[in-house]
Amino acid sequence: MFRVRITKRRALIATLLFALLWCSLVVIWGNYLGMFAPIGWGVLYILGLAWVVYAVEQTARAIEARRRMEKDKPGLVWNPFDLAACYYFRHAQRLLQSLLVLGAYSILFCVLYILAYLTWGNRAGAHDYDLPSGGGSDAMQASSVKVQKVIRKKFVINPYSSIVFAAPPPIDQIDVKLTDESANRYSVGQGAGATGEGDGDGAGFGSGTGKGKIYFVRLKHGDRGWDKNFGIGGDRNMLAEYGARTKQKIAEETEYIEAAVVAKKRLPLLYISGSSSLPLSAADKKSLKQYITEQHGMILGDNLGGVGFHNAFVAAMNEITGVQGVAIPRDDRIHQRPYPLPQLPIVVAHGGTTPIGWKIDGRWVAYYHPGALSDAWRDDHAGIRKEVYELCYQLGVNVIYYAYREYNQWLMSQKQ
Amino acid sequence: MAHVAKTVTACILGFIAIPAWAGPLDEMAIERWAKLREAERFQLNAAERLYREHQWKPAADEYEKFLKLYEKSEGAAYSQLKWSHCQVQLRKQNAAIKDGYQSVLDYFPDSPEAPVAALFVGRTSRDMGDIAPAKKAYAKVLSSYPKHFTAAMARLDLVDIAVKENDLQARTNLLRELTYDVERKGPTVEPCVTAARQFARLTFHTGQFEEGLKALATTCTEIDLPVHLMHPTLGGLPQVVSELTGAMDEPTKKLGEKLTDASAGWLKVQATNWLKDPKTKPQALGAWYAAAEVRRQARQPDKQKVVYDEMLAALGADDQTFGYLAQWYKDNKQRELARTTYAKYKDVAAGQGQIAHSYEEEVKYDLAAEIYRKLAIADAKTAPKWLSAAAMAYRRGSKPDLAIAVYRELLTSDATQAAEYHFQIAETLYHASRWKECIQAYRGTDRFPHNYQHMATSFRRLKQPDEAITLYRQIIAASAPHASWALLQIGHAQEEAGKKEDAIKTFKMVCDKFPKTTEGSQAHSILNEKYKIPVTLGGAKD
Repeated sequence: MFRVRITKRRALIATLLFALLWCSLVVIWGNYLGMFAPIGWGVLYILGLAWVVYAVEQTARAIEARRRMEKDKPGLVWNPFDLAACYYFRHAQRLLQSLLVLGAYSILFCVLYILAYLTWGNRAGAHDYDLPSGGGSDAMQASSVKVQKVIRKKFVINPYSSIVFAAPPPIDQIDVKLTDESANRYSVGQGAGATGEGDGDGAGFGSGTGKGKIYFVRLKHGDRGWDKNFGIGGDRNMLAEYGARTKQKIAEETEYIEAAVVAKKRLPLLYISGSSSLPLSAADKKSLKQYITEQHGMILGDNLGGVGFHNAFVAAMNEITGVQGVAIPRDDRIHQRPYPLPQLPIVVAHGGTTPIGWKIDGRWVAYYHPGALSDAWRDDHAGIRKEVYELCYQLGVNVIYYAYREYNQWLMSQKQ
Repeated sequence: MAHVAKTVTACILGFIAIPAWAGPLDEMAIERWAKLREAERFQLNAAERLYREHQWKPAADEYEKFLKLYEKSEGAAYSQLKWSHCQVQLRKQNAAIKDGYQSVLDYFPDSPEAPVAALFVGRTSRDMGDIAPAKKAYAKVLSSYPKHFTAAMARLDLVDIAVKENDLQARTNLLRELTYDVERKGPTVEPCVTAARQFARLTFHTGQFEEGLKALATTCTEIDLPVHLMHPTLGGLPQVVSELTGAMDEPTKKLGEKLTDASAGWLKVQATNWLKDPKTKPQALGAWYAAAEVRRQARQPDKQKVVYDEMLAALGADDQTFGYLAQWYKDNKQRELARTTYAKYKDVAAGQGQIAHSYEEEVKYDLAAEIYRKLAIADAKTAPKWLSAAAMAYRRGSKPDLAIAVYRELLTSDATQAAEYHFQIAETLYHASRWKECIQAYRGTDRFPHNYQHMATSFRRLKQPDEAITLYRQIIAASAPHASWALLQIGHAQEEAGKKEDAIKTFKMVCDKFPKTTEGSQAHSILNEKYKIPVTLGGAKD
């Protein structure tokens, strides 16, 4: 019968392999390990500690044996593996060495743990989604008209002149001639408080923090169109436009997030796009439901492909929200603030021409745009007319603003 | 593709949008029209005409004009109400509520329009997804106008909300109230009848046939009850029986069986009673067949057959009963017995026709065609009907030549329908993929643009895309509703001809010219996914 002998070398290789495998698992599927995460880390910690204790013990013994051979009295020793080190004092040297090794090992292990959970790229979740601090309003200011009076030139007349001048009319009888109306109309972001809500300085929200920003995060899912128009030259343009128009602080980049972790994120707006389907598992749907109900989030759906995504999105939202979608009125707040939009702009009608919304307790928790909204946000604007893509930006500003404003109000109510 | 999306959206919107009613909710009584002065009547008629033509924006402007000119008029409240309806149609529901319906309530509280406006505050809120304000508005209607017909309508709307909220108790109470307590007169009848039908279906779901029947009996006469019971949108008994007996859990199944036994028993009793009077014999037969149908829906084929046997024993040979019995044999995979039963028909031709049809169902087209031909020979008057059936059997049996021969025979024997037979010959050739011949055949038909569409497809199959493009262009010029489709097809034809640059230009043109259509969506997807071209053109506002 074949028997495996556990040698020191084999044990070391096995331990290293386990450590490598575990770190790879954490880097790739860190968010999905659930209850296995503490177990795995615990096993790795104990294994590592055992090896460290073994190595320290062996080294300490070797040093002790060498010193016995040399017979010379050592000077000031700093080597932590040597029990004669000056900082171990004269009594309980082994205990102090063990404590030092344990502390150092634990710190190193923590560093490894943090490194394993560090994320690179635009994956969301490594930070909080605080709102930008500030205040302001989205109310429309009345347009003002200034009357510019044109005063006729007055002539100083020599009464002895041979030229006869008619007497000028009294000053209050002068016919006022308007040369032009000063077109001092309201634009978004203009005004003392800028765009936002609250009493703070600058554009932002009352419940925001100094490090808070406006984020544009999209859901990563199984459809091939989930990341269309993502990043620079795509939805980043929308984020930049939002920042430029509202003067609120924005994130440097747009991000993506997985459905499994969205339930725990305090994120005001989640963008979902797709071209043919929306493959969400029951767990994903549950997570999205928690996101909109417990985290007070909002979903912006964008059809980039056709009927498949339309049907899938509408069905998923009906299930997630528990209410039926309705046509969003043209005069709803989301279509009126900060920009009043008389009509819905579309690039192409993949799912009709009517925006559909899902409302819970008077709040839109999902807004569905049927006609490739983010295509218009790209650098090339899909080649459509300026008038239409400008409306698409305005609609984007309105939806983002609506989501953040509602979120701000929720945070304020929680504080109270 | 996208038309499905549009259909789904239309269903959603159709469900939530308020239709352009014609009835007590948007009409003014004739007596009140008589009270208007000539100028007022003229202005209001101008607005009404635009409203009827669904020109909502101009209609709203006209109603507004009426309000400005004649704010003290008898028609002012009505005009305000109709202005609000126009706003709803323009999808400005917030304006409709705040500036429209609420104004009716505030400025014309005693007018006949006030209860209607109060109802619409609730309805419009509900359609915007604002359930809590809607409930509040409906409650106000019930308290302010308890005897008005709008109160009944408000209750029915509250039933809808209860259904969405899965509030069975509230739903049952409201439906019971509308069924039994609300006085039915004038416009109140309709919501009460609707509620009674809903209450009947709800009660059937609990297995209580008698209670449901009692509710349904309030909506029609006793003699019409079996028909109403069996109708899917009225009593809906077969659907409920099928649903309950098809359930996986035993208690629900038992409820279904209980309902089946009770309803079939009642129907049989009614049939027996009504058979005594020759005047009510048709209703008696209807009730008896209904009893069999209930058994079928309850997945009780043996009991279903017993009903037919009893009918044959009691009433003697009858083609209708034989027809039901033969269908039962077919459902239970006894096709020979079914044909034997059809052979017993008193109307021999009809029986033979059914036999031929049963052969067609079994994909035995030759046998079917043979019978149809025999029937054509037997009776010259009905020959075209049977010969057409024979030709169709040949077509289904992939024998286009035989089918065409039959159609040619019909061209001479039934010249009045020559155009139809020419078209069928072309269709036969098209479905048999005989492209050249079918193009020739379609040239002799007048069903535009169907014939041009099929001719163009045939040219593309013959690798002659230029010919197809010429035809598509003619479709664009002559038929605006098909223009977007034809332009998209031109793009596909250019692709097939290897002219990719032209095809891309055409697809872009589809996006640009028809961004709101299905074809625009398809062209956009093709450009994005197949050619990886993001600049698709297009863009529209709605």
